[in-house]
Amino acid sequence: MEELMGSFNTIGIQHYLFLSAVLFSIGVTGVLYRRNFIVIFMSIELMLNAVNVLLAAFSRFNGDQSGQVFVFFIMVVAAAEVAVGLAILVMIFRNIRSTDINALRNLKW
Amino acid sequence: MNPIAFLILSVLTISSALMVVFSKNPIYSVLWLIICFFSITGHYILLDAHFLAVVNLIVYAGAIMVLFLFVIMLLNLNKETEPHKPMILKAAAVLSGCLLMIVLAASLQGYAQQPPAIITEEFGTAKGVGKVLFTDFLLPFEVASILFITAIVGSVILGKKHVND
Amino acid sequence: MTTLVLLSLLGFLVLFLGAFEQKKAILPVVIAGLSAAFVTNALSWDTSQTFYGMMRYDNYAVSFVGLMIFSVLMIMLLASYHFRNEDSHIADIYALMIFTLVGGLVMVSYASLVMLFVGIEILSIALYILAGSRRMNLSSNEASLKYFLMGAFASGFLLFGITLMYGVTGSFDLLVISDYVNGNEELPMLFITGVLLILIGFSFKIGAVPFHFWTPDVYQGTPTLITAFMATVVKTAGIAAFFHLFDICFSAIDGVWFNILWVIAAATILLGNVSAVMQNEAKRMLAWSSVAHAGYLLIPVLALNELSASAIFYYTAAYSVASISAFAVLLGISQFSNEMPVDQYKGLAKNNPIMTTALVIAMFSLAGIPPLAGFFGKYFVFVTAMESNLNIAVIIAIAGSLIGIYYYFKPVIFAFNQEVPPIEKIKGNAAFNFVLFAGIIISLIIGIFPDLLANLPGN
Repeated sequence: MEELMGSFNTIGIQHYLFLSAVLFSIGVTGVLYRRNFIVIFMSIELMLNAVNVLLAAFSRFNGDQSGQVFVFFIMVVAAAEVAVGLAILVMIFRNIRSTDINALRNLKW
Repeated sequence: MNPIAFLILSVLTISSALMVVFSKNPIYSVLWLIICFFSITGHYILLDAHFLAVVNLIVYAGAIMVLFLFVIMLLNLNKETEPHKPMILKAAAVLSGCLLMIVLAASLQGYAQQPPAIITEEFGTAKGVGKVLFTDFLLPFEVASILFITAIVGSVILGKKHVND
Repeated sequence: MTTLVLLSLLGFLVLFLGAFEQKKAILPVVIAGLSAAFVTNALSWDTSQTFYGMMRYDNYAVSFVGLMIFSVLMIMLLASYHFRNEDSHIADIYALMIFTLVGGLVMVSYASLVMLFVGIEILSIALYILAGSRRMNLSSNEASLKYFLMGAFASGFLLFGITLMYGVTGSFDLLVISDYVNGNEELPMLFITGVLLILIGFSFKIGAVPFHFWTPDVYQGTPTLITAFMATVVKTAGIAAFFHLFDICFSAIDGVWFNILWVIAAATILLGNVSAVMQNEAKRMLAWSSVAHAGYLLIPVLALNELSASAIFYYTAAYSVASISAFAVLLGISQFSNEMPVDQYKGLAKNNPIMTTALVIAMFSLAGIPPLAGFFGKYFVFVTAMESNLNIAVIIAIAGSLIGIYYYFKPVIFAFNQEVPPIEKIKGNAAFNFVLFAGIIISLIIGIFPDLLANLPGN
């Protein structure tokens, strides 16, 4: 336990690597685990945020701001993706009145 | 980088992320996701990415989450309508998630330790990031406008009322 | 760069024409604009400029952009036929196709991973929308949703890979990463994980086994016109971007990814062909065949020698031309119907000789029968592979093409089936027939004179 606490005395890049790996894996698990489209979508957002945190950390430890600019681009893309994804969702909901991806039977999942 | 702040924020991030995935009600998922994004904003502040911290709050916790909530409310999804996935599939999902985490974590082992770089006053502020964005990254910035017009046109096409499709 | 600006402006212009209800002007403007873009693109030949360190417009980019502009032009002509009776949102669809092309352009000319990401996302987001463009049709909706989920999921992996690469090398620039790879004997595990994550992300995008599972469903549900788009432009851009990255950055560390990519390529060829044999739906069959072709296209990436770029270019060109013809015929036969059993081709020979000729040429070209373009595409791929001693991969690929002959002949045999009640005459308009003619002639010409395109991307 003391050793564990000791490893947190200074926060290094490996802590952020680990944090982001855990967050990314939670996102992947969510995509596979859930059936509700909206929650799957949120899990994908978690994956993107894991990437963002890691980029910011690398940017800080390398002392180079281009990593932060890339985070900015990822946010831009995520915003656009959310708009399109939710539009698709609204369109589907108009047709079938459900957001369970298994209700879409024509194409097997 | 304060170790205690990092620990608290990380625990908050990970536990709220878990709650996003495992909450039954989508509304709770969204609320947990907001907490998760707030804690990530905290991480950005710890990492001297002040501009990102603000943008993260405005774009993610603000705009994107409102959009999510709006759609959930609009489509009246705040009930637990989700049918249950077979237990075996759920177990497989969790298992593959854990495997991925182990693989990723194992690959991080032995990465050379380095102290944080020495940074200037400007690092991570709107001024510093802006300078990089509008010099080195000008071209992708401009090209991203095509991405936005695509998304706008697309959302309008898909979202507007059907006339004679 | 001029081409990029021109295409972007063309997209906006088309949107405005749509907004002001100038329906008649749209198609001529699009054709003129794309031709102009084709010319400006051709004028950049041998100039090899780098813009802001973000985009390198060399001969590789020029060749692939030229090919994509050509494919888009053909598909737009088909679109004018397909949407001849409805005028609801054709301008938007044209504009989205042009924006997709912009994304494709960025994907084949990037010099930085940031540009790669932005390009992929422009291409993908436009396609999610195009896939769902028949809004009342449930299968189109589903295809759009599925494509969206898979695309966003794959982007996550790609991004994680890019991030690890940035963390280790400190830059997004391809040349810096390549210097890093060449300058270090032992790469950190982190970097290798990054390479593999990028590999996974790309495999999702081009639909390679085992990340192909979305392809048949999405291709089937998507409106046929857009399926043609996915099978040609998207595949071209995807494989060109894939090869570009691995050629520049990771050629020195092929030990890391070679075996994995080898298995992916072999599995893609075999599974794609075998599954295509079992399909009774024409569109699903074409979808699986496109999976198989992605497998063939991975072989030059695997070989990674000085012939690879030309082999990929020639193959994608031959494949795009043949696929567009095949989908055009399918579009003509099935019109708006979603059900496309293979026996729908019955009696086509009596009904419409031009379509039949186009079908025969397209199918033979896809199957790789000499002297058509598809044959030389496969030939160049195999030569490239032999150069790098990939003999087993070549054997697998040849076995795959032999299986392929069976299912490519099925529609042709049905088309010449005589014992059918006379069905309604299928008539195409001028644009439609032009596309069919172009498909026939180009397949023949670049098949008989393969040297025309064979050395295009150069080194």
